[in-house]
Parts: sequence; structure tokens; C-alpha cells
Amino acid sequence: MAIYFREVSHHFQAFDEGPYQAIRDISFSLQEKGEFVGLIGQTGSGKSTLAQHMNALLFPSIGEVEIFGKKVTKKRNKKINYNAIRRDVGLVFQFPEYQLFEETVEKDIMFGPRNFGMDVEEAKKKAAEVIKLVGLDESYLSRNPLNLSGGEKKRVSIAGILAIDPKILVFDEPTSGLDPFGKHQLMALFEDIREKTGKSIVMITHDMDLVYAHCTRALVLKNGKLVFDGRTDELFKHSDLSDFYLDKPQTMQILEYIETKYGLTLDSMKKTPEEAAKAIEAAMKS
Amino acid sequence: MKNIVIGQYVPGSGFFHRLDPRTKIIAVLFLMVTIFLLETITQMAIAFGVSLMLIAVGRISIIRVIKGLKPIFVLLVFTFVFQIMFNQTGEALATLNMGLSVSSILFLLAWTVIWRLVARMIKRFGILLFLMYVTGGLAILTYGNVWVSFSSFSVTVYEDGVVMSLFVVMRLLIIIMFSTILTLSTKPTDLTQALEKLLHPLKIVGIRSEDFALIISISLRYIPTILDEANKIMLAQASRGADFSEGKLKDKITQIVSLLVPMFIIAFKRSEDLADAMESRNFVPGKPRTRIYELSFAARDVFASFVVLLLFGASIYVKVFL
Repeated sequence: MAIYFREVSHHFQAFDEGPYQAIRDISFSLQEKGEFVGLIGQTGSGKSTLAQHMNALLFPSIGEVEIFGKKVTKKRNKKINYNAIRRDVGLVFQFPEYQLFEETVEKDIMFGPRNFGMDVEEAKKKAAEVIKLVGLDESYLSRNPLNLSGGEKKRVSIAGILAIDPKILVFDEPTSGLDPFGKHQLMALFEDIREKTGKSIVMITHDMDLVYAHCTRALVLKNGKLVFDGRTDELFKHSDLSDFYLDKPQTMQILEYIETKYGLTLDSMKKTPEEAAKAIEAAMKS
Repeated sequence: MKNIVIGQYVPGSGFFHRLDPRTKIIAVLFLMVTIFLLETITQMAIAFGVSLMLIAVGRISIIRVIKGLKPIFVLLVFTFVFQIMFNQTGEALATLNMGLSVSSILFLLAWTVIWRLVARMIKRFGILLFLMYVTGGLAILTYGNVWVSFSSFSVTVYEDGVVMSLFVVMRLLIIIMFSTILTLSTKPTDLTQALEKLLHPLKIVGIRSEDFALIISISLRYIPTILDEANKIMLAQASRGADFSEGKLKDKITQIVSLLVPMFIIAFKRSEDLADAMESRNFVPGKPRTRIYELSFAARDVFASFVVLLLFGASIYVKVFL
């Protein structure tokens, strides 16, 4: 196990109303290899706060986060190199505007690796490598990141973290602002990373289809509390998802509708259109 | 970064809170002139007492006022020390024969270590501890020269020096206290509205006070937002290994650039968005507009103005006739 959350709470100081509890009493653990976690919940439920605890950008107000053996608590410990934690766990923020600043895409991608002590030549090579991974070609390397479109910026910001080569990747809404094609390209990239390196990926998203199709595990937050931690298909078997302010994936919704409308008995736990079609055929035959 | 309070307004219902902001601004200006008209230490001491009374009357927490004084504490100490050292007239009050020696240097070192240790253990009262440290240090320089002395000097404190330093420090304190009362009891938005109204006559010379008020209120409104953005940018860059606390100077510069560039871009983008939003609601600069809360004078404003004029008159009286 690589990351442990032990009864972690975090509160922000609000101006007038006293402390605001963003997440409360959260405990779970995350493996270094092979996990693809969907971190879901309604807006304001504490997903981003939780994600920022995973690489010690935020320190828990109560409790303890253990990241690759380093224990992060409320107090800053001088013996711990917090920067090293950020090399182990890479976090991509939701808005690329918060991080792009260099004159060229190449330099911007190199910023992370250079901070972690990689030499210039190697960082350049890495930049050329990751820019292709995120679905842009090498001509982008010499362009100004500030003049790119929203989706391209997003990809460059993801490339900036991939270049660091962290052991675990955390993405805060990676698909927001991407077109459907870009979304699938990105998910293919995640699957590819998982296949080749086995690295665990945590993804914050509101897209239930993506969670159902790709994630192996789901963490559901509601009002700062962890209300579900388990396999994705188990989550969607849960009869009343509106409890969590969530919705079922499209495929499941359609299959369930067909089931009730035509009085069929079919297995609605299907991920792709092909599987769904097969399930319908099977149900029609019987 | 989160606990920076802009304008340090504290909600309350004391006398000053209910006063019209226009009255307050004018009153503070008049009172400052009043303070600068005073000439002797007795007058200044009376003025000091009066301003303490004002704090009590306005039911403003004295702790907040002291906190407001914190940033100028160093200035106060310097003024005090320099006034004492350079005013060499009047009766000599005390002479300290100081010197440097191996023993006093050793004592000083030990004293510094003790001070740092105690300061680390007791997190609060840092200023008090510092004063104690300075006093102790002076005592060591005076009485600690028991072994291998290599230089000596003497410092004489004169009566005028003490009086002048108290006078200047009190004057500074009073002025800061007045402005702190003003900002503690007035919302920044009320302040800008009052400024707008007060500067209104300037339109004769072609300066539109509404524009200034708009500029001020927009900037005040956006300070917390921009700070929030800065915080997010810092986290995003820290996530890419930018370490804002450590590292060599050259690295630090890159890291600060990595913070500044996105900040400027976001600020410009926000201002454009704001302009669009205002335009789409038909905002026309300089057009007269109504407000939800109109400022209005009440009986207490008349009363406050009367008191201020009384104080002002009194100070002119003592300046001319005493």
C-alpha cells in the first residue's frame, strides 16, 4: 500500500463563520500498482481537498496521511522532504491556467522535471515523449502555451505532470473542457499508462460513464464524508444513487429503461454499446 | 495567506459603527490636525487620554487596536531610541558607562541563546521578550565588563530626550489609533462611498469621483479573489516541484516567475470578464445611479462633529494663548 488516510479531517478558516469542514474523518488506503480509482461526488463535497492531501499540498487538520512511508500530519515535520512526495504522487489541477507560464510548451513541460533535478537534455527528451502521449504532436513544443485552445492547454498541463514520471497519478477533472474525442483519447492514454507501467491512477470526475467504463474502484464523497469505497460495479448496483447525488451511467439507464418498458429480464451491468446490444439480444431470445 | 483581512473591518454596533462614514473621515482629518497643533507633553498626554476614552466610548476592542499597532511597532521603538540618543539638551538624568569586553560578549551570547530558547518555548509575547532582551543586553554592557575589557563608552540620557521621545511616540500612537478606529468601524465599501461623496465637488475641475470610487471598490473586491487564485497557483506549481521556501536564488527567481505569470494572466482575464459582465448589464461609467444603502446623517453625526470641532477649537486656543 502506498497511500493511507487515517481518520483525516480538514477544515478551512472561513472569514466570519468559523472553520469550514471540507472533509471529515476519512480513512482508506491506495495501492501503488493497478488501481484506477474514480473519486466522485457532488460539487463541493471535498473531492479536490481530498486529492490535494494525496501529495501533501494540504496537511490534514486532524488525522494522518501516510504517503510512501512519510507521515503527513497537521504539523510540518522538518525531517520530511515534502517536495519528494510530490515527485511520487503527481497531481494535475483542474484548470491549466494555474500552471502554464513559460514561453514555450517544451519549457513548461520541463519545469517539473527540472525542479526535481533532471538535467536539461533528459528533460527535453522527456518533453518530446510526453507531448505525444497526450495526443499532441512535436510541433506544439515550440508554441506558446498561453495561445493554445482550452483543450490543448489541458493536455499540456497533463503532460507537465507525466514528465515528472510519478509513481501514482492524481487527476482533478481531467476531462473537463475536452471534446468527446479528446476525452476518449485521454482515457485511452490512462488505460495505456496503466497497462504499460501498472501505476495507480486517481481521477476526479462527474462523468459516470467514464467511471463505469474505466475505473476499478470508486470513492464517493458526500458532504465531506466518504460514503462509499468499493468496486465500481457494486456502486452502480446500489439501488438509490440519488442518495449520493449521483446518476447511473447512460448504458445502464438505457438498458434499465428497455427492461421495464418491454418487460424483459436482462443484465444491465454492461459497459459498452456492443455488450449492451448483446444483452438485449440475449434477453429477446429467451 | 488566508488570514489577511482587507480593511480590518470588524462588525459591531458601537457609536463609531453607527456614525456616518463621511463624518468619520472628516473627523479623523480634523483630529489629526488637532494633534499636530499640540506642543507640550502635558497636552499630548491629555490627548492620549482622550483617544483612549474614545476607544472605550466606541466599544472597540483594545486588543484589535493593539494588533493594528503591530506593524509600526519597530518604527515606534526606533523613534523612541533615536529621540533619546540625539536630544542632548536639558538636565542629564542618567549616565550609563558601557563597554565591550570578553566577559560582556560571552554574557551577551549566553543571553541571546536564553532569549531565543524562551521565545521558542513561549510562542506569544514576542515583543515583550524582545524588550526584556534589549534591557538585559544593556545591563550586561553596563555591568558585565569584569574581564579583559577593550573599549568603553558612555551613554547619557537627558530630560529633554525622554520628554521628546514620549511626545513623538504618543503623537504617532494617537494618529495610528484614530485611523485604526476608522478602519475597524467602517466597511471598505462605506469608506469608498463616503470618499465618492466627499470628492464630489471635484467635478468642477473635471475629476469624476464616481470613477475613483469604482476603481477603489473593484480593487478592494478583488484582493481576496486574487489572493485565493495566488494560493491555487502556488499549489499547482508546488505540485510540479516548485519549492517556494528552499532552493538557490536562481531557482527561486524561476519559481516566482512561475507564480507571477499565471497571476497576471488570470487577473487580466478576470478584468476582461468583469468588464463584459458590467457592459452586458448596461453599465455606463459616470451615470448617476441609486444605491441600496444611502448614506444619511443623523443626530449623532451632529453631536460627533460638535465634539470634534470643540477639540479642534481647544487645540487652537492652547496653541495661540498658552
